[in-house]
Amino acid sequence: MLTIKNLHAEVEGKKILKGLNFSAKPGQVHAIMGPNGSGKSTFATVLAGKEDYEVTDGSVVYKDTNLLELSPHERAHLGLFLAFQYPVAIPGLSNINFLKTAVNTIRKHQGKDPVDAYDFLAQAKALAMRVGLGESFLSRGLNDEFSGGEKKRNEIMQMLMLNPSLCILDETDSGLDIDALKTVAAGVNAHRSPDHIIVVVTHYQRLLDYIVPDFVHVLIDGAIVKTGDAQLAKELEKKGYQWLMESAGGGA
Amino acid sequence: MINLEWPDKKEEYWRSSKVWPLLETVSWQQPSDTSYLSINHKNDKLLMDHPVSDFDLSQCADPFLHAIGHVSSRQSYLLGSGHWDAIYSPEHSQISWHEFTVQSGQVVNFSHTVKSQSANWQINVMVFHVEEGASLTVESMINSPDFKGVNIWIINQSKHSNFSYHRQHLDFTYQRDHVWVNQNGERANTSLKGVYASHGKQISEQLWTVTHHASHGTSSQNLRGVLADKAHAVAISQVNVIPGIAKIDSQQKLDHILLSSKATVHTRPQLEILSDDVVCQHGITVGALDEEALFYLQSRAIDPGLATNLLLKGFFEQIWQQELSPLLCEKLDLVLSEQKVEEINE
Ligand SMILES: Nc1ncnc2c1ncn2[C@@H]1O[C@H](COP(=O)(O)OP(=O)(O)OP(=O)(O)O)[C@@H](O)[C@H]1O
Ligand SMILES: [Mg+2]
Repeated sequence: MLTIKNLHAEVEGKKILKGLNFSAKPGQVHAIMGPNGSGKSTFATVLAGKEDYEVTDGSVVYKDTNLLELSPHERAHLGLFLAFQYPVAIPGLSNINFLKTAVNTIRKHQGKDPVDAYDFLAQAKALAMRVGLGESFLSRGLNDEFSGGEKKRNEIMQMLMLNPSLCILDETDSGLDIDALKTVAAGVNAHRSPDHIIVVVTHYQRLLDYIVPDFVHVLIDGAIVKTGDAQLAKELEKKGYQWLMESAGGGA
Repeated sequence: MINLEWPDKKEEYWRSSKVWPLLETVSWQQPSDTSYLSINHKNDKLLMDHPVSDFDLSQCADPFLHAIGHVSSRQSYLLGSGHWDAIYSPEHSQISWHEFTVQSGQVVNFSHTVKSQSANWQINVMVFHVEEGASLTVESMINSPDFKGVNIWIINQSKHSNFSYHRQHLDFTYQRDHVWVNQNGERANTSLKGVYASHGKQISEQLWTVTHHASHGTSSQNLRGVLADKAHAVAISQVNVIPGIAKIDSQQKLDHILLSSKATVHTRPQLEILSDDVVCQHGITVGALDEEALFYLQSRAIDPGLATNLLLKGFFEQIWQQELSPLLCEKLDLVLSEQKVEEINE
């Protein structure tokens, strides 16, 4: 169970999240939509725990733990995973070495032995195939010179590898061709389970044809102003955000 | 022919250097035997070659070359194909000079390690003549906490020859590494690479120069360093292309990461290109650890210490392009653990 109450956050003195409320139960898929600059990535980044994002008010509780007190790697150990809108490239660090380090760190935390190198490689190759990345991507530098779509596929591959219980996918569908979109959606759907919470941030109702959400939320000016079911996304596709912005503005 | 031009105007930095007045107080010896340098090869002996002509460096503006002065007693050897291991362990403040010839078509791997218990100043000059079509790889390493001194490498390349230099400095007090490469013949290739992590009050100075005296040559210079505490480094890479030489492809890249606000680096690429038909790429960076990259790794459950370690190893591996030596990894671990202690104390 994830419960977020009255979350306020700022970056470099700029107030971005202004009283955000959100909750999700295991087994659910939530979609968050909203205009550019409304604070969707900020919300995702605050959950992941980036240092320069200052939480000034509110609470975030996941699995009965105050998430805000944990550092980013501790949040990951608790099961949180953020698929970045703009994944960084680390040229000298090979993708496979990175993945193995992450997997073994998590295993160590769970009191398990490190993975068998041979099994791990086989699993990594299979997952790479599944998200449409060739084996050669494993030995390349992490996201190094990957195309936009390849980086997004790589994020999904990491999600499947690390098997997190709380996934936030920040515009993982942006910049994908239609085949890639289907591949990514298939990856996410495979990860759907009664134990997992999945939050997808997207601009496009198209993604929600493939990943059908239980709830759709609209985030405007740092707060969730409307919540509905999958039907709401279709309505937004037709009407845009203006009508909601007016009522949000009126309420403020 | 050995060409050791290091124009005076570029020596301003050295005149203000804290190190060079110290040198004037050193009484230099020219060693009477060669036991301080052991050179081994599995199934080959070093052959003494004929002596080569004398040098007078007393007119050089560079304080170290000036200190070498007139050199007459030198050792000269022929190197056959294969792997050579040289251990340099001097005791006195000495100036030593060795010359090696890699004969035409031979492929030589020459590994040179400074392992000295002595805190006396050292100047060690190694000259290599790489003949037509020969390939020389020099693996150079310093691993002596008390070492204070200068290694000077002078490489003369004939046509179609290859020279690769792989440099790691691990432990030292003060180290200066001069590399002068002269491409005297056409279609020669030169690759200089260096990686290091330094801490405490270590001073490290890297001065590399490649001079293209012939056409169709390629050269690359890549140096990456990580500095913690109050470590100081100088990294200057120079490319000279003499007039009338064409089709030169050269590349210089000097990158440093500073882990502490008290660490300093003085770095720049220098070019003297007196010809048109030349492609020269150069770049330098000095910065802190990439916060975005650190956050990305942490978001994948990797703790900050390990994340930093991975990033720095990746930083090295990107140019090193082979597995980092266990000694270098150990040094990096040490630097990072001490850095953490410093942060806590601040
Ligand atoms: N580091 C920062 N410094 C200053 N302002 C920032 C910073 N990061 C985000 N912002 C600002 O915060 C606001 C919200 O940004 P955010 O990236 O969260 O929007 P978003 O909803 O994800 O937009 P998009 O749909 O374009 O991805 C924007 O106005 C942005 O300019
Ligand atoms: Mg965004």
